[in-house]
Amino acid sequence: MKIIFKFLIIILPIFNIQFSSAADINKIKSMVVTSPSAAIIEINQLLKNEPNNQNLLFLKAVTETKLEKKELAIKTYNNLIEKFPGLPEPYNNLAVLYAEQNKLEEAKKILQKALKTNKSYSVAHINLGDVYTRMASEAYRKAFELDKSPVANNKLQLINELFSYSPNMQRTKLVAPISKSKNKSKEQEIADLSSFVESWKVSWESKDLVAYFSNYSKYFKIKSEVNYERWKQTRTEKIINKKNINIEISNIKYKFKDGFWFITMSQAYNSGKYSDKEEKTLVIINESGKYKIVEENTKS
Amino acid sequence: MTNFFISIIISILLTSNSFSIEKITTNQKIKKTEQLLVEAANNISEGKIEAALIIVKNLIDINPNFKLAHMIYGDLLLIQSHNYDQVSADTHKQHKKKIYDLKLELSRRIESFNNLDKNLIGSKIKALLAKDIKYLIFIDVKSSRLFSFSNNEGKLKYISDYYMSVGKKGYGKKFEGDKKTPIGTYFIKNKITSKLPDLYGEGAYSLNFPSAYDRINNFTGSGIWIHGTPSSTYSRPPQSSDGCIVLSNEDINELAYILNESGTPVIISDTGLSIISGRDSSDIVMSKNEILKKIQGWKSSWEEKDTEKYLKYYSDMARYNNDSYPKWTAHKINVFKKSQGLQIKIEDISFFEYPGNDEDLILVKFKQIYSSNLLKNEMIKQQIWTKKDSGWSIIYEGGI
Repeated sequence: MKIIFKFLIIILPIFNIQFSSAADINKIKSMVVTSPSAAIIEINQLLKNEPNNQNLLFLKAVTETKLEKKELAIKTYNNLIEKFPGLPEPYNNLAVLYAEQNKLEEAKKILQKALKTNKSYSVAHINLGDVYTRMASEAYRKAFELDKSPVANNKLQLINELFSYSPNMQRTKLVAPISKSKNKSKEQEIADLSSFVESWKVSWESKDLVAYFSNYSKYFKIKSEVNYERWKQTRTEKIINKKNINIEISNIKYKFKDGFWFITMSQAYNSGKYSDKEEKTLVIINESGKYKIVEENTKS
Repeated sequence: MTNFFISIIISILLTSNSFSIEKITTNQKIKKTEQLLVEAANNISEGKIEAALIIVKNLIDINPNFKLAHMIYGDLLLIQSHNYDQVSADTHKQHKKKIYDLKLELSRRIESFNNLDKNLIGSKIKALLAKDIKYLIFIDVKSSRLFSFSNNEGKLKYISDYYMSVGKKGYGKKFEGDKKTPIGTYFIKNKITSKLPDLYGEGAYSLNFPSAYDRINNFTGSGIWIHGTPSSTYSRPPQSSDGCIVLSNEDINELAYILNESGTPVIISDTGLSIISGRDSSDIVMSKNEILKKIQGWKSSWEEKDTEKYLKYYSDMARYNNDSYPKWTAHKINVFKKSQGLQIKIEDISFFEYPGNDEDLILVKFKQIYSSNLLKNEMIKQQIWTKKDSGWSIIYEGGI
């Protein structure tokens, strides 16, 4: 299984004053990407002076993973966990390495520990969900006497940064509220929203992913705090694999509140294999003159 | 969202609601496997998924090829993942039959934990055991359950019970290849000692199907055995054999000391446990006494050579060995005339209910010691008695 290295967003550690300067760390971070074997020498050198620097230790483990020295990385993460049991990231990455070795039971326990340190650590939630799916899949393989697991193995997500998770962001801070009816009548606005919903539905049914995702705000978030890229990936897999998608929308209602349009509807989904009915609410903002979905909430 | 996995768990819960953990832990005779399944169900009903997971994992650790446990384990894991809907819908579609089978196995196993008092079942089965019979096996095909009893001064004493599987097409075997398990009363012939394929598991024991009575009914077929499971699986679905009775290897080994006793009666019943447990024990005692009295009456009429009285014990359709009524009655009357100094001893009388018929049938087995001026012999005899409005009469008699 290949590990995807993503989200190399440079976020500086905000607490724990370390000897190594932020500049040193940043330099090493870019080295990890460009020449990991040089980076590891540098990291080990710096660790001689500061054996308990959590950023360095974490970077060491990340680099070791990148160099395919998985056993060493496991050791480093365990060391890090022992020294800093309150950090969720080392648990997460250790679990991913165990999952790769098919030690799913082990991975599950460690992810549960990660969530003990931080309940809303979304990556661990997602990874734990994937571990559960893989374990379930393996159980079904045995139950139904199959040659291989019925579900393709999901790739678990490694974290390359400490403190990379963002706390629950306030919706109001993120988006510019729609100033209501600046130069549009309410009827006109609703007609526009109605055609927006229609084009959203059609893009989904026709599996036109570019059009489909263009309906969503870059601030789009769903309840479980999945980050946008991850969500996009999951949605892509879900949509692409379907032969036919048929969606019927009824009982559509529009409501404007606090700068957001709330569109509630009954959605009947049918992909041949699977069908369901949901009550859905789309929360719409106006992003540089265009409607975008910022939240999509369902209750079934 | 309707979903089959939910329905599995709900089906466990619905059936497990009728009894409590307390009842289970106090009954020492209960099998480990079902106990753990029910404990898991109770945890699920209380929303304790983690606790249920641990129990089901334990079941898997004990029996690594227990497919049902793997399926429940998968369900419990999947409901905690975020891929629940998609995976469950896909899996359901692809493995409908297997899921159906496992669900049936689960409900059958759980059903055995109903309020049935196993220690009372022995008194509800019409059977009397002579001292030469050590054990009796009673199979209820409707609940996929096999019960073993020991002979406690002629009465049945409960020993143990097990989940078991029957034929793919169910029960009521009539013809070779109909993939059904026979209903009736049979006897263990012997352990199969030749090397058998893995399919038969860790032991196989033959039954006397078709019996003499089956042959009268023109039933055909052969090789109805009680056997174990292949090494790849802990158990098989309730209806999965070609007519054999299939137990887990663990259970067949545990039962070996009984199955090794050639001549052990095996009642294969389609009556249903609820009907059996609803029987009145005193009625059973009464009809047992009635049958014993009838056998004695039949014997004296024979000894007295009272042709009219003797023939009244038989139905006019009765078969004697392979002979039809007119043929064997003519022969009997002739023998009665010729024989002098007739002495008949009947020993070791056993009898068993014979399920699978509209009428009440009883299979009687005894040792007959016959002595006259013409013939002296000893033989094991079987009779089948039926109860009609006019009372009990013999419809089959023959030597073994």
